[in-house]
Order: sequence, then structure tokens, then C-alpha cells
Amino acid sequence: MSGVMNRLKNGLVTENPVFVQVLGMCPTLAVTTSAVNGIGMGLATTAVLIGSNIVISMLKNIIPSKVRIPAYIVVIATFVTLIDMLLQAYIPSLYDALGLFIPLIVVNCVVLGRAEAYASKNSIFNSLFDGLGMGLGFAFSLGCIGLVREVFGAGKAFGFQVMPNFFEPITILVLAPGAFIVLGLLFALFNYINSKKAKA
Amino acid sequence: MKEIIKNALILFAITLVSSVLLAIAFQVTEEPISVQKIKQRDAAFATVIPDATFEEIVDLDFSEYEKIDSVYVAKKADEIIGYTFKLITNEGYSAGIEMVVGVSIEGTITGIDVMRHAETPGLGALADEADFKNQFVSKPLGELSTVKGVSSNDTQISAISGATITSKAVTNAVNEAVTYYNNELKEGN
Repeated sequence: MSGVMNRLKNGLVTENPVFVQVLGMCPTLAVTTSAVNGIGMGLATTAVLIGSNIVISMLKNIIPSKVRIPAYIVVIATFVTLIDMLLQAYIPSLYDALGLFIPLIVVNCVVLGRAEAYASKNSIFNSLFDGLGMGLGFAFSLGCIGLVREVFGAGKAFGFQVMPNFFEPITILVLAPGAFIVLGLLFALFNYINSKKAKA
Repeated sequence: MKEIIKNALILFAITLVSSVLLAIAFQVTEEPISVQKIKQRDAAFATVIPDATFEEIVDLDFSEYEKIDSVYVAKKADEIIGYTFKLITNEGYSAGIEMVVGVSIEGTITGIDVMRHAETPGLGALADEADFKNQFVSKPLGELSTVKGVSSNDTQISAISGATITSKAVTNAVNEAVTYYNNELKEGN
């Protein structure tokens, strides 16, 4: 079981896709206008990551290395489209919240990155947990960015008013430039915590 | 040469399996998806004209009304009490805004509802809040305009501060539905 914990910790902290690997910046910047949006995007990506990691790990001996990238993209795009249709049909409330972001997952380089760097070289079981760990790490990071932007930019957390009435929302934080500012600040914070740990 | 053919065949096999899977999933989900869409639409209609039944009017010409997606007649006990419009406008700040507008035959707007949008949270997204939407309720069927600050008469909608583009997009869509009603649906035409 230590392998499982190791994969989860790796995705959430050691190789956190956003704060350490700086992957998937498009959705990170674009959809994190609120905590719910960030977490939703993260969880949808997690589902795709787990699925594509498993399938690519299964096919790793069949896919020739020269055509591996198009093969991975076909697998990923198929999963994204399947999830899109299934959510729309059977979990409409979740689709309402996430529908907008699902097609974006196809171009999320975290998914392709894990297929190339991990799933194509490791066992199915480990790949599954690698996908889960990376996905949760992605969801956690996007949730953090979304929460900070929502609290200071709109005075709300998860849609509920949390800031007192006299607080004037810093509107720029929910606009595009705010995404870069908050991302930069959280990068700094995350790296500071990691460097402290490394010293200790 | 042999390797190219082998690679191509393997890639072909992968795409073939993918397309078969997608085709099956499409077949299976097609019906539930359309059922969900109707449910969602009816829920939005019920907020603008409560307790009515809705029936789509087919064969209408919207070529001069690019924002109108479809028009429905609202009936209560077999009597026509109004019409609902499903609109999609691309004048918003982000992707298309999908909304519904209700019009009563007594000559007022019964209400609007935003079904799907991607406007900025805290700014344009406030268009889906009651504070903004309720402004349209009971407005007469004429041209509405947006103003900054407080509206001073019946034909003005107070724009959401910091989101003039979204406010205008919604108001223009409502105007188009009203114009269509006045020109095409109103009794006597």
C-alpha cells in the first residue's frame, strides 16, 4: 500500500501539477474565478486522468513509440467526450456546473503529460493512483486559487457571502489579470513551504 | 516501409475502437440528454410564467431575429395567456448567454431567466441574480434601454455596475423578443 500513498502524496505535494510542474496553465488561469469552478474543473480532470492513465498503461506494449502522441490524444479525447455525454444524460446538475469546462480537458497538458511521463512506463494499478493523485493535486490547487479569488474578488466563498458588508471586493482578482496575480502569490507561498520542509 | 504501415494500422485500430465506443455512447445518451434539456427549459419557463403549459410554435421565420431560438405559447386551462421566448445572445462578455423571456398577452413582460452563461463572477454573473432579473417584471412591451445608476422610468433597466456589456446584452435580447411579439404574435396582426 505504500506505493499508493506515495503516488497520492506525489500528485498532491511533491510533484503538484500546478505549483511544482506548472502544467495545465490554461484551465488554471481561465476557470478559477470561484472555488466551485476550480474544484469542479479539477474533479472532471481527475476522472479523465484516471481513465486515460489506465487505458494507456494497458496499451503501453501495443502503441508504437513513433505514433504514441496521436494515440494518447485519441484516447484522452474519447474519454472526455464520453464523460461529457454521460454527465449530460445522467447527472445534469453536475453538468450544469462543469459542462463548460469539460471540452477544455482535451487540451489540458497535465493529462497528456502523465500519459507520457508515467502511464506509458508503469503498471495499470500504479497508473490509476498516479491519475488519482495528480487529479486531486490539480483540483486542490485550482480550488485554492479559486477560493482566494472569490473571497477577495467577490466577497464570497463557495457562493456564500463571507466578507462583511463594508468590504469592497477587489474586482480585478476575478478578472484575467487577477488570475496571474493570485497564481504568482500562491506559487511563492507553496515554494516557501516546500523549501522550509527541505531544510528541516 | 513495413513499419509505417504497421504504425498506421495500430493507430487506425485505436481510432476505430474509439469511434465505435463514442457511437454507442451517443446512441445510449441521446434520448436522456434531450429529456434533460426539455426539463431544464420547462423549469426556466415555469419561473417566468408559473402554472402554465407550454407548446412550441413551429415553422416560424426568425431570419430577421438572430437571437431568438424558439417561441412557445403558454396556456392556462386552454386559454393563451402569453408566450415564452428562448434566446441566445452572443453580445455578452463571454460565450453565448442562453435565456428565456416571458410575455403576457396583457402587454407586459412577465419575467426573464438566465439558463446558461459564462459571465465573470461578481460582475456579469449578477445578471442571473434576482436583483437584476426582477427589474424586467411587469415592464411594458416597448424598447428598453440600460442606464447607469438608478432607473428613473418604465423603459429603463439599471445596469449592473461594472458589467454594462452583460446588462446590455440581456436587455437587447429582451427587446428582440418584445419586438417579435409586437410585430408577429400580438392579436390583430
